[in-house]
Amino acid sequence: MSDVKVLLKRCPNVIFLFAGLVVLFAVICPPFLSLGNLANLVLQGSVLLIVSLGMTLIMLGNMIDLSVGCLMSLSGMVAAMILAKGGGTFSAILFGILIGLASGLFVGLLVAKLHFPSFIATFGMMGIFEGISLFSNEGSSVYWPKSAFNFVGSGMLFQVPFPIWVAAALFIVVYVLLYRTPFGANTYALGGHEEGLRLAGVNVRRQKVLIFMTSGMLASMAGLVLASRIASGHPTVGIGYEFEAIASCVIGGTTFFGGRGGIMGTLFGVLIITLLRNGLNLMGYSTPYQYCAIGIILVVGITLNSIYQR
Amino acid sequence: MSQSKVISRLILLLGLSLLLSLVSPSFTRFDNLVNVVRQAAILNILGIGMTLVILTGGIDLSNGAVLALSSCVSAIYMKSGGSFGVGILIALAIGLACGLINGWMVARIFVPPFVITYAMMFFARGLAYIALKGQIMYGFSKEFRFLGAGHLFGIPTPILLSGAALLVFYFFLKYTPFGADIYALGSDEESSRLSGVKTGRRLILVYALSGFLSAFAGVVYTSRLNAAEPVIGESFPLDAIAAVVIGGTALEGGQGGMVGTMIGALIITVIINGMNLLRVPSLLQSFILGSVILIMIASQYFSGRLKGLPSFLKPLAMKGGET
Repeated sequence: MSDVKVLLKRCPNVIFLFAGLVVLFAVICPPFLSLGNLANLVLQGSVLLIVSLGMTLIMLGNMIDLSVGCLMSLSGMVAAMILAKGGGTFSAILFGILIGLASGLFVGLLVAKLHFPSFIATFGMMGIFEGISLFSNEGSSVYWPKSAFNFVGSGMLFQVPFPIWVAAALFIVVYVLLYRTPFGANTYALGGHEEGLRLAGVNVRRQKVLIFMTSGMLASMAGLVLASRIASGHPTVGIGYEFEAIASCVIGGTTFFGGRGGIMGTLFGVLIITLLRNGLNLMGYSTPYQYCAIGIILVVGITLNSIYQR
Repeated sequence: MSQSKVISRLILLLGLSLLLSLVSPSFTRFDNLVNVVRQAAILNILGIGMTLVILTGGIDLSNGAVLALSSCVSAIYMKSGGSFGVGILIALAIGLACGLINGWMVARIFVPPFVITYAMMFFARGLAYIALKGQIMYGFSKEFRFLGAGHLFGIPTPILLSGAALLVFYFFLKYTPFGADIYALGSDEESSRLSGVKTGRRLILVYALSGFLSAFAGVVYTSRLNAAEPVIGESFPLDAIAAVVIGGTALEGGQGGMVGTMIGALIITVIINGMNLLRVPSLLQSFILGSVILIMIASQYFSGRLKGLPSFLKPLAMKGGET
C-alpha cells in the first residue's frame, strides 16, 4: 500500500487526468462504459503495458529506446515465420524472445561500451529492424496454421483474456525486480547519479546492458502477444508503440532525466493512453487524430513534470 | 571542418561512384547522374537544417513529418485556387511554426530534443492525414512546378536552390556571430551561457531554421513530384542524419559543417541510387541507412585505436576536430 501512497503523493495529476478522462468519455459517449468495451480496453492496454515496463526501466536509467516498436514487429515476424514453416509454439516463443535479448545485448553494448548516445543507437537500430522485418517476407504479412500459439493472444484463462495475465505477471516481475533487488536500486541510481554509482563500485556498463536486455525481452514478448492476437506476423505492426510507451512513462511521472518515477505511474500512464485511444476510436476519430492527441498529452505531461520538479 | 576531412569524404564519394559505375554501367549515364544530384539537392536542404541542430548537440526527428504537413496544407490551398506564391509562404510559415514549438520546448522547458521532435513527428504527420483525409493532391500550376522540375540556365532548379541555401548557411555559420555561438553552444552550453551567449534564443532560432528548411525542402519536393500526400518524407530523418554523420559532423555537437553535409548527402544519394540500379530491394533501404549511421559513429570510437590506417583514410574515421 505504501507505494500507492507514494504514487498519490508524487503525481496526483495522473489520477485526476485518468478520472477526468473516464468521466468525459462516459458523458460524451455512453457505450464507453459498457462491460464489453472496458474489457476490450484492458486487453488493448496489456500489450502497451508490457513494452512500457521496459521503457520505464530504460528511462529511469537516463536512456531511451526508440527501437522497441520495430523490435516488436520483428519478433512477431520471426515467430510467425517459424510457425508457418511448421515449427512448434515453444520454439516460436523461444526465438522471438531470443531476438529481443540479442538486440538488447547489442544496443546495450553500443551504449555502454562505445558510448553511443542511446537515442541515436536505438534510432539506427529502428531502421535496421524495420528493414529486416520488411525484407524477411517481402513486405507482406505471414500467416500460420492455427496452433497453440494463438492462445497467447486470444485465449481465455478463468474468464480473463490471456494477454492480461501475461501483462499482470510481467508487471509483478518487474515490480519485484525494480523495488526488491539490487538491480532495481542500481537502475534508479544510474539515472540519478551515474558517477556516484560507479564510485560505489557498481559495474555501470553491465547495469546498462542488463537494462537494455530486459527492455528488449519485454518488447519482444509484447510483439509475440500482439502477433498472436492479430493471428499473423505483420512487418510494421509495432511502429508507433515506442511513441505510446514513452508517452505512458512520461504521463506516469517518469522523467527524461532518469532516477525519478516508477512503474506504478507507468501503469496509469498506459491506462490513460489506452483510454484516450479507445474513447477517440468510439467517437469515430481515426489513428491520426489519436496520435495528435497523444502528442499533445505527451508535451503537456513533460511540461507538468518539469514544473513539478522546479 | 578541416580540409583533410573534406578530402577524405570526397575520396569516399568518388570511390563509391567508381565502384558503382564498374558494377552497373548505367550509373554513369548523364541523365542518371543529373538525377542523383537533383535528389541529393533536396536531401542537402534537409541536411543543412539537421547540421545546424546537431551542431548544438541536438537532433530533429520531425523534419520528414514537418515537410509532409507543410506540403499538404499548401497543396490544399493551391488546389482550391490560391496562388502559388501564397501557397509557398503558407508552407514556410507552417515549417517555421513547428520549428519554433520544437525550439521553445527544448530551450525553455528543457525537453530532450529527440523527444519533442519525435512527438512533433507524430503530431505533424497526424495533422497532415487529418488535413488531407486520405486523399492525394496532384497536378500543380506550371509556375509552381518550375521550382522542382524546371531548369534555369540549363541547370535543374532544385540544384540551384539547394546551392543557394548551402551558400547562405555556409556564410551564416562561418562569418556571423550566430554561427560562432552555435559552435560554442554545441561544445559547451554552460560556459557559452556564462560568457553571455543567449543560449535559449540561439536554440530556438536553430530549431526554427530547421523547421523552415524542412518546409522549403517540402516545397521543392512537392513541386518535383507534382503531388502531395501525408506519407511523403517518412525516411527523411534517417537519410538526413546519415548524411550529416557521414559528412563528419559529430553528434555531441560543436564540430562539423555544411560542406561535409553536402558531400554526405551526395554519398547517401549515390548509395540509394546504386541500390536501385543493382535492384537491391528498396525494403532494405532503412536497414542499410541505419547500419551506415551506426558504423560511422562506431568508426569515430575505434579511430582512436586504429593507428595503422593510411593517413588519407584516417580523418574519415576520426572524431571531428581532432585532426
